[in-house]
Amino acid sequence: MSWDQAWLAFAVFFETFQYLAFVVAILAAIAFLPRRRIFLQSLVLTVVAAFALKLFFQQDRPCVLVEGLVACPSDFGMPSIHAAFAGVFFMGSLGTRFAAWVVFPVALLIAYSRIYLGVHSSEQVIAGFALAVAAYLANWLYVEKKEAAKK
Amino acid sequence: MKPDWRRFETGRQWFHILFGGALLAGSLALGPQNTRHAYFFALLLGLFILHLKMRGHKLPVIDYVLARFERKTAVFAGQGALMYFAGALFILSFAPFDFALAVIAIVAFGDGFATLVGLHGKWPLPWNPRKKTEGLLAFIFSAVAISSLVLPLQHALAYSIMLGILETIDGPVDDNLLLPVAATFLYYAVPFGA
Repeated sequence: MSWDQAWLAFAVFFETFQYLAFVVAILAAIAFLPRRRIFLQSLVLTVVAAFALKLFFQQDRPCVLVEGLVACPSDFGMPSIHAAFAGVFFMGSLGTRFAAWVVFPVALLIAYSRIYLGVHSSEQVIAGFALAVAAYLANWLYVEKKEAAKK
Repeated sequence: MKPDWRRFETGRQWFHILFGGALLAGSLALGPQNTRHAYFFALLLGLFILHLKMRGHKLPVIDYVLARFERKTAVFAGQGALMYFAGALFILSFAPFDFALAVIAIVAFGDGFATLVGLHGKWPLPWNPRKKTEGLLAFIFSAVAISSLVLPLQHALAYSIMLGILETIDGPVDDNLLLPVAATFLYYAVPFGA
């Protein structure tokens, strides 16, 4: 199997089973992540903001102009919600034992697979990641400072 | 304010200004797409360093920089720098490049000079006595001076005043992240958007 075939197999596998993968990842996150409240708040905030931004920017996906490797999704492309999800998991796993070996590589592969499949541009993927990081960091500071103020 | 703290904060803010200036020059040289990619990889690197610090690793150069410039109240290692890159990447992703550069410059210069001048200020702001009127004026003047290089003067002035006032309001979120996110919303919300 060539590198291209292996990469395509991963990208298509993830595209096919994305909802199942998402549910499993959420359950695993709730079970194992150290900052669950911040993670869940950030996930909700990121998803709501990402859908709102898609409607606001109404930016087409690259596969609208050039056919991608999978069917082109019908919604707008800016920002990538896959990259945003991956970003929240990336942030949530910071400091954990399995982050560097499992979550970081998988999150980056998922983000890059969107570009490889032709369903997002690199700008849309970076925007999704930026949104997730901003939401997580803001939540992290908010929760930590609120808890420090209570003490 | 104790002299030691004032000296620490002065060094920190000069580092903030010089670091911001260097990033701005780099962004101008790289252009929009490469700048987004560069900030993305810089943020990834910063987050990986944070991960290593949370795992208890010793990183001599990073540890020295953190000891020299990190506030003791930081929630996590490298908070200021990570917030700066996260905020910059956010505005670079969602706003036009020129406007994003102007806001990155406002955060670097406005915020830095506000603290440098505010440390020696005498007149507390009515809505936040911890911050000084001189600091707010320094924010606005320096922000207008630097952002007018890429924005029309009246837009530079309006955004500098709005972001300057926002900077004086104490909140849980770091200014390095708050100002770019707020500026992105202002860009689309205020009809005279650049």
